Amino acid sequence: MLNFVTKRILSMLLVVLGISFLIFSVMSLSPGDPAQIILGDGASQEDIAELREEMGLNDNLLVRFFRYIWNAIQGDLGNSYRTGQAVLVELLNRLPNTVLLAIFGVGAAAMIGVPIGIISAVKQYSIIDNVTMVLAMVMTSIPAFWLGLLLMLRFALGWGVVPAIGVDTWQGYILPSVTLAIGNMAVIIRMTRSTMLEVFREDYIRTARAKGASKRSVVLKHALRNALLPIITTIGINFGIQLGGAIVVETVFSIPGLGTLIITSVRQKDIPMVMGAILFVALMICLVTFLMDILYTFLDPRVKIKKRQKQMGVI
Amino acid sequence: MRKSLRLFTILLTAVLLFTFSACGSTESNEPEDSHTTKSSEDPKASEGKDSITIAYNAEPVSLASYEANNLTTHSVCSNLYDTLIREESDGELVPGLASEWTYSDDNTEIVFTLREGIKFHDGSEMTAEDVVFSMNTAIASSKTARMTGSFEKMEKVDDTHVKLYLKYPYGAVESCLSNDNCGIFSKAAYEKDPEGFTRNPVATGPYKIVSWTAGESVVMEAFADYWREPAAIKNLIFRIVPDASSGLVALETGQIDVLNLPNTTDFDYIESNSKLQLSTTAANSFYFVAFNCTDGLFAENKVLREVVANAIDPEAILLGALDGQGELVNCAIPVNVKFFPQEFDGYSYNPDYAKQLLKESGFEGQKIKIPCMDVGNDLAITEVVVEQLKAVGFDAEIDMMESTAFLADVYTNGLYDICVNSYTCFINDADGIMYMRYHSDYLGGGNNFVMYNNPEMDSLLDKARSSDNDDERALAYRDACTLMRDDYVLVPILCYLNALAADADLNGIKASDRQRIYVYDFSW
Repeated sequence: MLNFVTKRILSMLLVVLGISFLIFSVMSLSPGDPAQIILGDGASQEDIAELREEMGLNDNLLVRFFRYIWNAIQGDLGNSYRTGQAVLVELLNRLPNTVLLAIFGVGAAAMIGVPIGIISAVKQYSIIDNVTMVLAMVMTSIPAFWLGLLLMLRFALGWGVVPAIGVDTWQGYILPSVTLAIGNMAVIIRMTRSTMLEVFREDYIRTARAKGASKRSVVLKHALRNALLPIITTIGINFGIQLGGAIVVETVFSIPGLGTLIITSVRQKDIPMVMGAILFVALMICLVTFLMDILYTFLDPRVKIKKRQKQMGVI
Repeated sequence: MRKSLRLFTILLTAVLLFTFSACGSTESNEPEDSHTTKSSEDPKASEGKDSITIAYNAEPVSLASYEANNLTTHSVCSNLYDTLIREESDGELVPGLASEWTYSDDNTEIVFTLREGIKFHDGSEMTAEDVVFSMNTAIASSKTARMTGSFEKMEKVDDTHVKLYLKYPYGAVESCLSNDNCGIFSKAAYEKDPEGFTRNPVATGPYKIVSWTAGESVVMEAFADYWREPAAIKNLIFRIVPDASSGLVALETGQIDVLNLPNTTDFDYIESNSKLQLSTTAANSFYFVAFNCTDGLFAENKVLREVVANAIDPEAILLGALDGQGELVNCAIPVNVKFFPQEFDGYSYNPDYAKQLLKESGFEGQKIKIPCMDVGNDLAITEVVVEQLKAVGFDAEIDMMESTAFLADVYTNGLYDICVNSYTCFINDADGIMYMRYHSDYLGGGNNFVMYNNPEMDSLLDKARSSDNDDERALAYRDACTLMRDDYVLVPILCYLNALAADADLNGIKASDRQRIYVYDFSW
């Protein structure tokens, strides 16, 4: 296990370093001068040149990159070009909103989507199955901004049961989470249904039925357990994507999250903020995939057995 | 059996789609019956009549007066700072922190008499040293060039007088001094924590800072020891709401009280809703089609510029791009800016003449790219412009660019022949939009990016800015606009509208030409 963890941490660091260099290069080489953006379009060329020198923007790309990485290792992600505030502070202010939104959104999608997918698989080709598939198609097709506004009009303006914007209270998370959940649910429903159907065709399921196991036991104990790995993978991937910031949902519901921060920072060529945010997101996604791998070993004993068999020289 | 099941599900889908569309149309057709509630769950919403929440679509970059260089930051700062001269909502300049001022004979020195007993937000008293320090900090800041470019330095004369030295006589100096870039703040507070000052300024304005939650809100409260009457509304929250549609819903639910820049498509709805009010005014910004007057296709052939001037139909652009919400402008000065030339003869829309002129011009039919920024109304306006140019025979296409790329390629490096862009005048004086944009001293590098180099123009602009006679200045600006028209420097199109949507119970709501929301003027 220690070997596995060490290898994964090292590969995570390499991935994060690679992504950082890619983003840094693209941001630095793309058109636009951060100094000009900071000073505004009325600034003189002398002032812009002076600010560029002050910010170290005239240094070589590699020099600037390694300087950034060296500082980042020591916990200093620099200051935002736009606001002058410490990048780490701004990210930590926004991170909880994004993480909570991802947890609620993907969590709700999983809690509702997996059971629906199971029912749909069990009742294949029934009315329930057909309705579920149509609903999944509709849910995938609905644009998030439209759905969000619709929910806002009905629940915030029409019935007044939740706030329209912001996450000042826990109720503020309801509409954005539902909006996110509906978008993610479709994928989870379909993945659950298809993996369950695949598993239903396996010999061990026929064996379980032949041995007189109840339908509930066949579905939940034998089939679901084996179908869980791809479902968990799908949920994990969706969670990772949401950690990158659900930009549309954050914009519609005025949630100060990582998504809107990244977009604003890219547009303003705020390189330290973009780098800091991408580093955060990359690390979190790597962590999520790492945790998923750990979870696999608990869900699927064959993973551990294969390793023991390898060690014993059986395979 | 399966066929009937499929038919059933198709019917079910149709019902669902109908239900979704019915939800949307019901709300928009019944504005009077809209349920408007003030959310009691949200602690930052208006509680009774003691607070006001204003929605902006962007966050200020700083609360330091000498760092404000965009409209949002200026607006927020204007509630925190006072200036030596104050601009009223109707544009009139009146004494602010200075009770009076006198000019030297050559108009390059101004002595201000400071009011006494003015307190800063931390309770300390404003002194001449604070005024001098604030002004010299603003002068030294590279972000205030628009306002302080003509200022040399400020010195203390005595405890109640300060003197401002100008580099040259400047007719717009009082307008500049009324801008929050010239806001007065506590020297001691700044020196105690210069970096923290950008988030926690100590000034003399009607509101003082309480907190700033990044990406979410800036919270202020009325300053009890304000030198005029304390503000009528005690608590002020500037809230960042990126989407105007969501903002309108939040306004209707009472979660916010004022929405800056609602969608133009919602104007009719807001005006028909008895619980809301709408105020609009032409912005101090105008859109135009600009030419590179020094390099490239349109620089070499002035007739082509004339073709474009006759091909552009501003009314169609106003209708097509902005739903008619704006004001046409026929010169390079926005309609609400001081010295806008009344009854000015601009270009006329004459597509037949444009076609004929194009044929006679020797134009070889090259494809022309029209860069525009991917912000605001730029793209919508450029789309109509492109169609109008195609209609007279140009092979034109849009080159939409990210704003930073546009600034680099078009503004700084002049890599364009023709483009669509907009200017904003940050003061209520034509000098704020004319001198830096068309004087040869600012050729290239981002200000005079149209690369207009005309000694006659320079002379008119120098005369206009240095005169202290309004009639003389007005005539000079009119002549400058005429010269630009005859040289086809750019084709002015329109000013968009600045708008405020607000709770109908709020008094004093008045849209500003520079999106300035001065809450001191509001009351419940």
